[in-house]
This record gives sequence, C-alpha cells and structure tokens, in this order.
Amino acid sequence: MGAIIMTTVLGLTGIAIYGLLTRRHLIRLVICFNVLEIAVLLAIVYAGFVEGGQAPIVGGAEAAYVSALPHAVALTAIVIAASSTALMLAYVVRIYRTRGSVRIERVRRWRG
Amino acid sequence: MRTGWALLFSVALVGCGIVTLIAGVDLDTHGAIFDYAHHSVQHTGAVNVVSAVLFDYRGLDTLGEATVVLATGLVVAVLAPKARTSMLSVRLSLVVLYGVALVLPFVSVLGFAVILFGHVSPGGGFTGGVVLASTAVFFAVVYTVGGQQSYVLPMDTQKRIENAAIATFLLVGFGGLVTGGAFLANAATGIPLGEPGSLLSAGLIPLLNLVAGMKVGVGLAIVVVCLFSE
Repeated sequence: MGAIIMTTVLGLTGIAIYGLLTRRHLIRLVICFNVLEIAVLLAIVYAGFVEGGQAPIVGGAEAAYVSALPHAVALTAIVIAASSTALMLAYVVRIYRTRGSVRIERVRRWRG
Repeated sequence: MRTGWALLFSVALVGCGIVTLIAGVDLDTHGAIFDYAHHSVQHTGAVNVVSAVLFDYRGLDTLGEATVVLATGLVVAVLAPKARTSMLSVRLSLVVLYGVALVLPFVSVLGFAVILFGHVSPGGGFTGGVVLASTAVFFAVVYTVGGQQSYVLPMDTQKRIENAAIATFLLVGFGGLVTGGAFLANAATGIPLGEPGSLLSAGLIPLLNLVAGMKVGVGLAIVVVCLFSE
C-alpha cells in the first residue's frame, strides 16, 4: 500500500517537473503545477494514514482513526491551490491579450 | 538537448526520492504528534475531528486561508474587468435550460447541508462553499444570453457577503481574545459546547463553518465569473 502510493507520488512529481522544464505553452505549465500539487496532496494525506484506521468522525465505540491533521492541511492546500491556479490563469489570459501569444518563445516584449 | 537535460533532471529527482524511501527514512510520526481524535470531542465538542482542527485548534491558519481566497478574488477582478463575455455566447437547448433550473435548488440545499452539518459529519465550510460556488458556475454557463452575463446574486451583493463573512470571522476571533484569552478561542469563552453529535453543539464551530462557507462560495464564484468574462 505505502509503496504503491509513494511510487505514485514520485511518478507524478517526475512527470510534473519534466513538464515544467520542457513545455513552452503557458496553459500546459499551469497544468504541470496542478499535477505537482496533486502529488504533494497525496503525500500529505498518506502521512496521516493508520493501518485499519477509520475516517476521523468520532463515533461511540473506541476505534483507531487516521490522523485528522494531514486532512485539515490538505483541505487548506486544496483551497490555496485553486486560488493560485485561478491567479495563474488570469495572468495567462492577460498575457495573451497584451502580448498576442501563450507560447513563451512567441511572446513579444517579454520584458517590461 | 534541452529535453534530454530535463529528462535527466526529473529522473534524478525521482531517483533521490526512491533512495530516500529505500534507505528507510520513516515518515510515520503518529506516536509523536498530538492525538486529535481522542481529545477533540472533549476539547471542542465537535465530532468531526477535521472541523475541530480547522476551526478550533488551527483557526488562525483558516483565517489566513480565507484571506488568500479574498486576495485572489480581488486580483482576478482587477485583472479581468470586462463585463461582457466573449466565449460563452452559445445558445443552449431548452432541455439544458430547464434541466439546470431543476437541479440548481437541490445543489444549493446540498451545499448548505454540507456547511451546516460540517461539525457532525464529513464536510464543512470549505467543501460546502465549493458546492455553492458550483451553482454560480452553472448559472454563468447556462444563462449567459448574447454575451450579457447573469448572476445568481448581483455582484455587489456577492462582494458584501464576502466582506461581511470575513468581518464576522475577525469579530469572532477578537471576541475570543477578549472573553477567552486567545484569538479564536472556543470553549475557553464559556460558550456551552452542547451534546456532541447534535446540530447545536461544538460552540462557535458551526458559526465559523457558515462564515467560511459563505466566504469560499462567494469568493470562488467571483473568481470563476471574472475568468469567464474575459
């Protein structure tokens, strides 16, 4: 279980870093950021995993629960990720309107 | 050439991760951290431990998170100030118009239920807020006629709700500071915690859930509608 999840995390991280380094289309860069965020979220949630633990809604009987702290952190991170994605997309739209392209090498007057 | 270096760098990075894992760096720290699940009902009265962490133990971080959404709404509204849409002027069929009209009330009720039962069941302000924001997205996509956008609520009302929500959050925080000795204090203010698991329990957590839900719902709706209208 743990090996599968950590492999997925590392695989997604590798894909995202590779994409960030090679793609030149700004929307694809935003997508790479999102893939990286998903990898991080998976790692965070897995950090609170307890073998055989239940979801952290306290019931009557004493039971083992998975740790709730990473869940709260992941919830925060999702909202922040959505906000940063919205900001990036707004800037991409702005760049397209003022500079005429969303491909990095074709954007005129990149500086200034 | 560039692709080759990028591939090499990515593979090296993943390799470092694999080596770290195989070398046995233990990520398991459950024994060392505070066991929220077995204390939260007694401390906060909330059955949902995630809600207890978000709005009681780490309430200040949640306020910061709400501020990020507020700032994003501001910046996106500045960057995309157009009132008319160019990309959503497609006329949809009658089935879509009436189908969405049928679904929208249920989605709104689901959103409010997820918010109001956030301290006794899975869910909470942020989850329910996103559900509420989706109604605004439905509305903006379906009922945009001829490039003239329509809103569930007028834009001014949305901004007022957002401001009132963040002001209430701050007021609750400072109220806790005055009566309970700590910013966003809950049980320490002397508010009755109620029967754990009932709707009116957990002190100030349901109020903060509602405030955060309004905040996130309206904030995301503003962001999405502004991005549509570019």
